Amino acid sequence: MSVNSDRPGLFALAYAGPLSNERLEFYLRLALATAILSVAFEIVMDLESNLRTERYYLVAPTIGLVLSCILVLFERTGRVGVGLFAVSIFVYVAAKWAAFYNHGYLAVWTIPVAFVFGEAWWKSELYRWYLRATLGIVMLAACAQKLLAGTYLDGSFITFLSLHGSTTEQMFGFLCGPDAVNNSCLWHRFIGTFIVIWQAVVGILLLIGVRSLLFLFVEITFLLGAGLYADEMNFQVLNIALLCIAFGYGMRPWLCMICVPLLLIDAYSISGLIDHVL
Amino acid sequence: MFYKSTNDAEIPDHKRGGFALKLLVGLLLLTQVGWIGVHLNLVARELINPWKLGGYAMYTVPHYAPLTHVFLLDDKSQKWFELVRRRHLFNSFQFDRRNFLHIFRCRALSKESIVAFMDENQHLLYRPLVLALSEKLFTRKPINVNREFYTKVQIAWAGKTLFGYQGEICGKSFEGKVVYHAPT
Repeated sequence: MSVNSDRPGLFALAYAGPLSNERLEFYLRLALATAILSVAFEIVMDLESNLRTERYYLVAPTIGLVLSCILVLFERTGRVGVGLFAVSIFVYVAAKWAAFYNHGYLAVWTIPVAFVFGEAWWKSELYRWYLRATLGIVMLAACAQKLLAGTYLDGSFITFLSLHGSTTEQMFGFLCGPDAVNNSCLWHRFIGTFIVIWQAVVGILLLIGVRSLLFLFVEITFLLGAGLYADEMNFQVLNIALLCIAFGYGMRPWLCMICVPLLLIDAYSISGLIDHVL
Repeated sequence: MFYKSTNDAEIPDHKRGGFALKLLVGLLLLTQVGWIGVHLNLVARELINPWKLGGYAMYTVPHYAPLTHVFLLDDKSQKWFELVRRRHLFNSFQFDRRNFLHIFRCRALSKESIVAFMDENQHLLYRPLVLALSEKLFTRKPINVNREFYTKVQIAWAGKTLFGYQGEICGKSFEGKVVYHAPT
């Protein structure tokens, strides 16, 4: 498909020709802001329970996280924003490490590091390489955990979600009959096995340095699909935003317009929304 | 064009990372790999909740969702009965928090957590009681989750300032005595 196609498809929207350095640099900062937003959303949602349990000292890091999300957008304040994020998230993790979400931990490993790459962290190839390596390790870790649990190759976890999961998690339920409760059917085993293999392949491709845009778009599609299935968007949006930096692509407006509303919807839960409508 | 590599990204690397920066990045990656190895090991030995502690094992099994239960001895029938989980009947917030939300499955319940439970539930003082923990366990035949008790600790009072506790978790027993002064 040509970039200059008369029909504006998704790919044409995704690739709108060469960008100026300034614009691309902004998209890279926007990607980090989106990554921070995915964490901030979860933490802002926790604010009420933190206040109810008299953990008032967590209000400051919550405000810090929200503020850092804005500061990283601008060239002059980008590094200050990263620094503020680092301080805020460390205070938060120190207080709530046992309850902290996995995507929060991923943010701890990936975002504060940008600070050491100077005023213009978004220009650092080493930082992008670090993000690719980290995401590759995360993918391989997720694959290893699934193999260890043994619930994907035999399809039992997909069957479990189909039978007892939330509305979106039941989307593959139609593939198997009622007998699946005792033994997962071939389709569920196939889906479980596919997920494990996919994560392993993506992990390896990231680690060996593949940076094709096609690969990026396929992985973004997979992450969004997985997010809709599991009704959990924070982790997926964080991954997407970090991948956008790692690939030097940045958070383009079309992708931002998908990710940010999904974070908003996630606050209510996709299943909750579907159940409400139906 | 979608096969185009972004290796030659439009933005030049303004400052090639020095040795110190590369060393830092290498150490961070090694730490991540090391932690994931430890996490995998702890999950394999069923010592932690796989969903927690940043090991990326969420959605490998249903969340354990540990819950605290309270059993009281009925004075008349001398039988144990479970207190319904209602905030006005008992509160386990501090107890759960001081046991790190029970993410370490085989860690003995701490003395501090039991004292915190007493502090938070003054209406249950001086009564024999049992604190128990349950979690959701995944079963394959049939494919389901069952909530099962996996530990309990029995508490008995000797007067109004001393109580003892005894429990078992993952096959290991634990016990202790506490000189207790109720907060005023």
